Order: sequence, then C-alpha cells, then structure tokens
Amino acid sequence: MDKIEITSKSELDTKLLGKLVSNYLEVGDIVFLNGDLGAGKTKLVEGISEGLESPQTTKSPTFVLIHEYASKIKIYHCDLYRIKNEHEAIDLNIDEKSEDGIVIIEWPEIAKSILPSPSIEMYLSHCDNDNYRKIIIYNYKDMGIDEINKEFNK
Amino acid sequence: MFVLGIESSCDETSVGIVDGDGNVLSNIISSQVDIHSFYGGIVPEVASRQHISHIQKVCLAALSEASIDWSDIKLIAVTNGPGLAGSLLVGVNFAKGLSASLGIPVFPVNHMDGHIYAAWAKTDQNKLLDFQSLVGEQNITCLVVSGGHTDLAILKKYGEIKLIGETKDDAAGEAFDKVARILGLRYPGGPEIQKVAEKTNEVDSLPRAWMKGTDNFSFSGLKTAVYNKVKKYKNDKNFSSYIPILANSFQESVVDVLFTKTINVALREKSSGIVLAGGVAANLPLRNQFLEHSPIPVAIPEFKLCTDNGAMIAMAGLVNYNLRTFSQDFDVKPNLRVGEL
Repeated sequence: MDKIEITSKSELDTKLLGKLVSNYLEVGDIVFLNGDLGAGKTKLVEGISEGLESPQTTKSPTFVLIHEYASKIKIYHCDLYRIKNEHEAIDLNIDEKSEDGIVIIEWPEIAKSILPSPSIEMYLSHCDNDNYRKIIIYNYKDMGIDEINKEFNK
Repeated sequence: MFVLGIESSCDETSVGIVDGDGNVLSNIISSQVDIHSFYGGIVPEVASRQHISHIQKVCLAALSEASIDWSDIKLIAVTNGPGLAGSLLVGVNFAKGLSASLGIPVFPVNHMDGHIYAAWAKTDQNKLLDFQSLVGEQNITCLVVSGGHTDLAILKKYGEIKLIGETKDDAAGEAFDKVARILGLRYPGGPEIQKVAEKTNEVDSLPRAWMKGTDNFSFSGLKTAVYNKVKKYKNDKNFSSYIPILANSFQESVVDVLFTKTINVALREKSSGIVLAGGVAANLPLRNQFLEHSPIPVAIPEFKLCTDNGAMIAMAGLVNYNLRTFSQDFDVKPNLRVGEL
C-alpha cells in the first residue's frame, strides 16, 4: 500500500488528479472518495470520467444515489450522502456492478462494513486557502503513483 | 372524461383526478417527508415499502374526494421515470392492474413532463394563458427545478419536449438542501432558506456560475463558496446574524442565474411563453422574479402542484392524450431524461 499526500490548488488541479488516476483504473476497481461538502469529490469524478473519454456529463448523484456513465470502461458513480445505515446501501448491488465497470463511491464511510474493499481511497479536505484542497491517496493496487507525485509534488 | 394520475417516483405516494377541462377534482398526497426528515433525506428501501402500504388508500381517497366512481375513469396516467426503480415499480404495476381490470388505457408519463403540465391545471385563481391554449403549436420554454434536476427544455410541436440545458453538477434543489445543512438549517432546505432569508435584505457577494456559451447550470461552486464563508466566520460572535445574510445571498444567486438564463433561451428560441415548474418553483423569490420581471408571459403551477403529486401526472396524460400516440407496453425507466419517452 502506498500513501501520498498532495495539495490541489484549484478545481482544475483536482480534475487533473482524476484524469491521472483514470489511467490506472480497470474493470473491477472500486474508488472511495471521502470529504466534506464542497471538497471536490464530484469534480474528481469528472476528471476520471473525462480521462476515460466519457461523452456524458458527470452530475452529483446525491438525489438518486447512483449514476451510470458510458465510457471506455463503464463508470458507476454512487453517492451515499443521504444514507443512514449500511442496509440501505445493499440495494445498490455494488459487488455486481464492479463486475462490469469501475465503481466510484462518494461518502462511503457509512456503509463501509458491507462495501467491498477499495482499490484506491482518497480523503479530500478544505484548507485555509479557499481554493486549496489537501488530498490523501491510499493506493491499494499497483498503481503508478509516481506520476501523480511527479505532477503535484514537484 | 376523467383522468387518474399516479405518482410514486420518489418520496410521495400521490393520486390525482382531473376532468377533461383540466380541473383538479382531487389530489391526495401521502407524504413521507416526516420519515425521511428523520433520516436526513430520501431512503430508497423505506420509500418503496411506504408506497406499497399507501397506494390503495390514497387512490380510494382520491376517488372519494372527486365524488366519482371507478367506471367514470377513462384514462390512467402513471409516472414511469425518472426516479427510484423500486418506488416507480409500485406505481406502474398498480396502474397496469387498474388498467386491466377497468379495461381502459394506461399512459406512461415522464415525471419531469408532469411537472411542466402541472401549469395547465385550472384552479380558481389560475386561468390558462393564451400560449398554454396553443400548446403544441408554438415553442414554450420550460425550466424544471427540483431536488434532482435543473433542466431547461423547449416544448415544441406535437408535445415534443427537447432538453437544451441541465446542471453539470448539483441540482438547484440539492444546492438548497446542502447549503441549508452547511448553515445548520433543517431538511428540506428550500423552505428553510427562504424563511431565514426573509429576516434580512442584506446580501454578501457570492459567485454566479453563468456557464457562458451554454444553456447549462452549475451550483456546486456556489455551495463551496457558502462553505468557505461559514469556515471563515463561524467563530465570529455575530455569526448567527450572518446566517440570514448568507441564506439570502445564496438564494439571490440561484434566482438570478435561473431567471437570466431562462429568459435568454426563451427569447432566442422565440418562445410564446415560459413555464416554471418543479419543487423549487414553490420558492417565493424565484416565482416573483419570473412573474414580475419576465418580458414573456409566465405560467407557474400553484404551490401545491409544484412538488410531486398525482394531479400533475393526470394533467400530462390529459394534454398529451390528444397530442401524442403512446404504447400500452412500457416499463419503469429510472434514468429517463426530460422529453424522453
């Protein structure tokens, strides 16, 4: 397991991180995104989705819990923000979905006990500078994290 | 002719009945908002279970309040998407069962279109505007704003609805809910923010995402801007008096962007009218902005028809029955977008 910490200095940075991460994603991968409201989780998903050349708009799935995007690899974009306990996440069939695509889960905390282990987990947090975000990446797969290090920790 | 409309796409089980002239005879809504408020939002599993236990009672209550009998119903309209699959299934299966037993047609309605056609319902205060009588002949610009959607669409000839703009991140109603949470207000956020904002006329500067060159919206940046303001001032001793100012500024930013972009589209698309619909259309400052400042006639459903309800689905069935052909063979479509069938 690798862990790196980077600072995103703008929404564009966060999106770029998503694009870099997307290079290493394949069917079956599960990505956890943790962070407060407005930390940039959906922006990161937008970067991943663009990196995988999805023609579809990524939108917040808070209301409907899950969105599906067609791209080079199918992307399932889940959001457990409104869920109160793990039982309510069972309906989403995350295990089944990871069989034919990448599953990205925002606010996974509440349902961690029933969710499969992530391939990558990220923690996004606000900084004193309104535009900056601290992002900690836990890399549980053999991902070329050097490239991300090179880009952000120059 | 009486049309029965069934709505169960999200957290309301509702059945409404309208007559052939678009008068709403009954509109029973069994709200789950208390249950979901406890959970801080809508929970799919809880929602579908509630629909099953409510739908028959709600339907019988609608018939009773309209003082009509099963045999008077000539058409059933039911929401088949978008929404939560389990919840939609309850309504669609109930509607199909009724259709088979009564021997009358059942018409699938896109929930988002239902919001739009709520503006065609006749009420005491609300007479149809000229452009509404000519529906299907001239372009009508529609803004549908709710917890899950912010859609700009053109209602064209023969009832065809074309989506031309949507949110790229958070829906307007979702932004209200999340900003309410950031400000420590209750769920649902729309009415709370409106109420708190009424305490002040002051505004602080907050951004507006114009998404220039497109007809799309974005409210995520605005949400983050409110978050940053709270972060900056939360330890200030006057913070509690700053909350109404933030609520007011947030609301003003949302209203400004929704109004300006909708008017631009309406003028460009040579629309004969504008329909403002969806749950967020119950927001008073938004309604007033449209009613007082639009250069083009504006129709907005009355308050109780803005949020999810069965009468709006019945209205969509009634208006479209004469405009469109439809198939009896349909299924639930959780991902339906505005204008799709």
